[in-house]
Amino acid sequence: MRTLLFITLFISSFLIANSQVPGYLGKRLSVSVTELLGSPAWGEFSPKYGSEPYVNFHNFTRIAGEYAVGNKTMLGLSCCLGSMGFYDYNNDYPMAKLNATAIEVHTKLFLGDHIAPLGKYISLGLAFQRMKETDPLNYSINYGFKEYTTNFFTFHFGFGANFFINDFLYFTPSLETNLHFQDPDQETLDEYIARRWQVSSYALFGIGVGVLVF
Amino acid sequence: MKNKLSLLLLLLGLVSISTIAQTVDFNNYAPIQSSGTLPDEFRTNSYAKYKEKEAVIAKAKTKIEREAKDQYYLENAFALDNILKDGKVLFNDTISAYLTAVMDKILENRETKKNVRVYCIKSAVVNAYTTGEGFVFVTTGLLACVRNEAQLAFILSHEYMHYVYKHSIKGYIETKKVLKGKGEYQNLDYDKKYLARKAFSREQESEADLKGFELYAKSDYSYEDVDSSFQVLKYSYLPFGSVPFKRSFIESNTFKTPDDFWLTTYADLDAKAYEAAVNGKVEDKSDSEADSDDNSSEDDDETSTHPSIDKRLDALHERMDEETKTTKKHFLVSEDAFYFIQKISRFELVRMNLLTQNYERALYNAYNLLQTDPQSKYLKKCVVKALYGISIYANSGNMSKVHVKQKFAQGPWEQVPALVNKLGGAGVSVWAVNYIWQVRKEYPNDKELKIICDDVLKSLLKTYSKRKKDFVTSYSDTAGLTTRNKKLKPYIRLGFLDLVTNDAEFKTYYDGIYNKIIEAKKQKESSENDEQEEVAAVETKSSKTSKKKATVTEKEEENEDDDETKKNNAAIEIQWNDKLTKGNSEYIKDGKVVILTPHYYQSEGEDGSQTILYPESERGNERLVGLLADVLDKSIPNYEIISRPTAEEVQQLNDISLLSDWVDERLDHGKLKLISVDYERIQAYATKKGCDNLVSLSVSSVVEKKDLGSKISAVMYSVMLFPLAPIFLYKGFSPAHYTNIYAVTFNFKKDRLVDASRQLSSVRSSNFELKSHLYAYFLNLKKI
Repeated sequence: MRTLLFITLFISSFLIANSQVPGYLGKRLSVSVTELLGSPAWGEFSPKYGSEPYVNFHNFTRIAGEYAVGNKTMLGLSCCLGSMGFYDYNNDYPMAKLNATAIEVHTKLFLGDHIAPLGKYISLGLAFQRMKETDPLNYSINYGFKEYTTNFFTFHFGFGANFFINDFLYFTPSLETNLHFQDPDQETLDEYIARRWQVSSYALFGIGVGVLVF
Repeated sequence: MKNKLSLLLLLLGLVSISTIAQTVDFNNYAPIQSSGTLPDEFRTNSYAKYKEKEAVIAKAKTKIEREAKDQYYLENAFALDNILKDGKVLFNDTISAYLTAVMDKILENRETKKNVRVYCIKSAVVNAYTTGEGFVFVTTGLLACVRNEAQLAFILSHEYMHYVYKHSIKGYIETKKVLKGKGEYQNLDYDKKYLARKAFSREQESEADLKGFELYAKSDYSYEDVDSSFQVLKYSYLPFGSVPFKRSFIESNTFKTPDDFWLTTYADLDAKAYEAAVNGKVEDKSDSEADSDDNSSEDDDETSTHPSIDKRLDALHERMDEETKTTKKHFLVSEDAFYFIQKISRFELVRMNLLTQNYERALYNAYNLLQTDPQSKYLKKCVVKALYGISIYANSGNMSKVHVKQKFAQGPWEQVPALVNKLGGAGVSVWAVNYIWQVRKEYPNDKELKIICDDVLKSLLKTYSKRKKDFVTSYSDTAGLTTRNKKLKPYIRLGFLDLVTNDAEFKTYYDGIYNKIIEAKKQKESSENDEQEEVAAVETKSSKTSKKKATVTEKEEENEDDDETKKNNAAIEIQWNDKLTKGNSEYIKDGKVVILTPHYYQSEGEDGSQTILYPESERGNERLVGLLADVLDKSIPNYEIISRPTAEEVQQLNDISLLSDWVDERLDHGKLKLISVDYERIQAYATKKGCDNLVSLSVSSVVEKKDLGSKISAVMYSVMLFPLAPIFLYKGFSPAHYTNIYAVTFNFKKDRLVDASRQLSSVRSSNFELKSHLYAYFLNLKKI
């Protein structure tokens, strides 16, 4: 709650301080939907919990609201929904399923001489993620868990561009990474699950469509 | 039948000239404007004009010729449109009608007559020029100087021959050949190439002279005017008249100037000496006089585009001797019409002198015209405005920007710059107030005169109050005037005494302004004292620091004059706002905004060798107008875009002329506070349109191709750092894009420049980027 309050105050202070922000033809608020394609996470993850099965390619959906608070800056709040399955490729069976929900606050800094929300940008963000791992077919029983829920924070860094289709619509390709630092030797099982998710989000390619609202 | 028709048309033309002549009120002269229907050439766009020449281009024999022709017609079409559509070219007016009549007289039975169109162009420059399409432009500056119709006819004959012999395009193609080192120009170094181009131009001028003379000789114009027309060109640096500038014009009973302010002899008219002065070469007069006869015909500057006038005349004299002439007439069309259009041109010239801050020349020209039109309010106000300009520039430490050095003036006109130099800013201001007050008494309801008078007096008193010379003295203390501050020249100290003594109204007026200045000065001093006391209180802790502060203050006082001068000099320089978030303190608020002829230029090329893409620029211009409408709808909804007319909008072209002159003048003044020459017309325009501000805006889109060095470097780095190759190759080969927006905003009511912004962005000039940046600019301007 305190975090939300802080975020609200932070955004409000920007809005007051930068009342003369052009946006695009006066439109400063945009809403976008982005599909993010995650990389497969391969290999051994945990020296403590042993080797892991392969992870499939997976995608997440992000819905974001962003507001131009300066000529070069946008602040945004987004919600990300996604799931992915772990497969035993030797048997082609799904072994476990991760469902994640994330709420992220981020800022986009527009590069060069572009004026927000048009043009190239880098994005920085902090996400709060809640994750639930399920094993619907009990295949992962051998690994010692069935259902776990865990919460954690990740840092996000990305690069993208908003290309306008007309004065209201834009599409936005992006590349981004989510970082979650943890010592594999010290992590709990919850943390380990989180990291598995995290590793799969090291490199994400996104394609989004946005609408300028007002 | 054809001849009868021509005669009828000519008669109709003369009737219209004489009719208009009666309607022009030279006492309340209003600048000449175009009227009637927009001629076809003003409606067609540049690209269409260029496309008409496709067949001609295709006929070129060689590749270099074809390329040169293509480029020529392209550039020419756009250059011509720039001339035709900026409002300076007059059509359906008295002057152009008369010029056409003279041209018709020369070309009586020629087939090509229908291809030639003669226009008057409003410019102070003494010149005439021809385009490849048969447009002959004659400046008002030239018309003000020619003495009769025959001189004008010879000049038009010369210009016509440039068209007939296609000098314009031939010169262009030859220049291309020279630059590319083709044919006879192979292996020439830069200097020789440069000289070769000039030599070719001189040949063309000589050909136009001779062929023009042949044409002229077939008419009934006199030969002697050929010689005199060259004299017009030779002495084009002088004003059109040469009446002595009389002392009585400026002096009153108490504003009396010393005798040594008045020249007893004037510098002889010597074009060579003038040229030497302009080029910064000191010429020994005795030598030049001795050698002038011997060298005059040999003196042909090889860097000039024209042969020397003496050489040109010599060549023509040979031809003249071969011809026999029975009739000798100075006028064939109409003597009255000639003097009428000459008078209009001279009246126009004074205004143009004022617009370009040639105040001393304007003063002398207006004085000259006042000899024949002493009741003209227009001319009196021109004198007022000339004195106003000199005073404001001089009192702000910018005299050098408007003052003509005496070495550039010859003949009786030399007196004006000499006098201004001797009088200095204060002297001219005192003269100005004396003169303006007389004119004000004559026209008491003239608002413009009141503003000017206030400005000059305030400027004078403020300047001298700042310089602590105690010029600011009350004329109530008449006894004190003779004793106080004897360092000041009597003509400054006592300059207003006559008016104060004999005109109670002036005394009240002067005291009013004086008291305001004194009050403001006292307030400023007291606030400065308060500040100093505060500073002193803070700094009493350290006497050392206080001493240092005192020293600084003393120094500041010593340098006050210098600082003021520097500050005012800076006022003329335009301070560009580069950041969107920072602007001037003055902004447009609500109210209507006029956007004057937005310009779009697109260029492409390597760094340092950019080529303008004309068709793209023209299309871009249309695009820009559309985008501006979108942007303004959302930022400043109360607006009007004035773009170049394409239909019957003749008045719009006249408005463009007025507003462009205003914008140019205001940009010249920078932040200097003086009202513009066309103040009344500008205010009338603003009232008629209900607008408050004007924005003049141009956008340039630059595509900078990467040079060979960048490409090689990119490949080398790619090889060395293979994983980063895509980045290096992209950076090394893809062109850089820049979009630059320059915009200046003026307030009609304040008659001032209120904002000058430029945004130099490394982005493509896409519709969205342009909209985004233009919106940001207008939003910043509006300061919501």
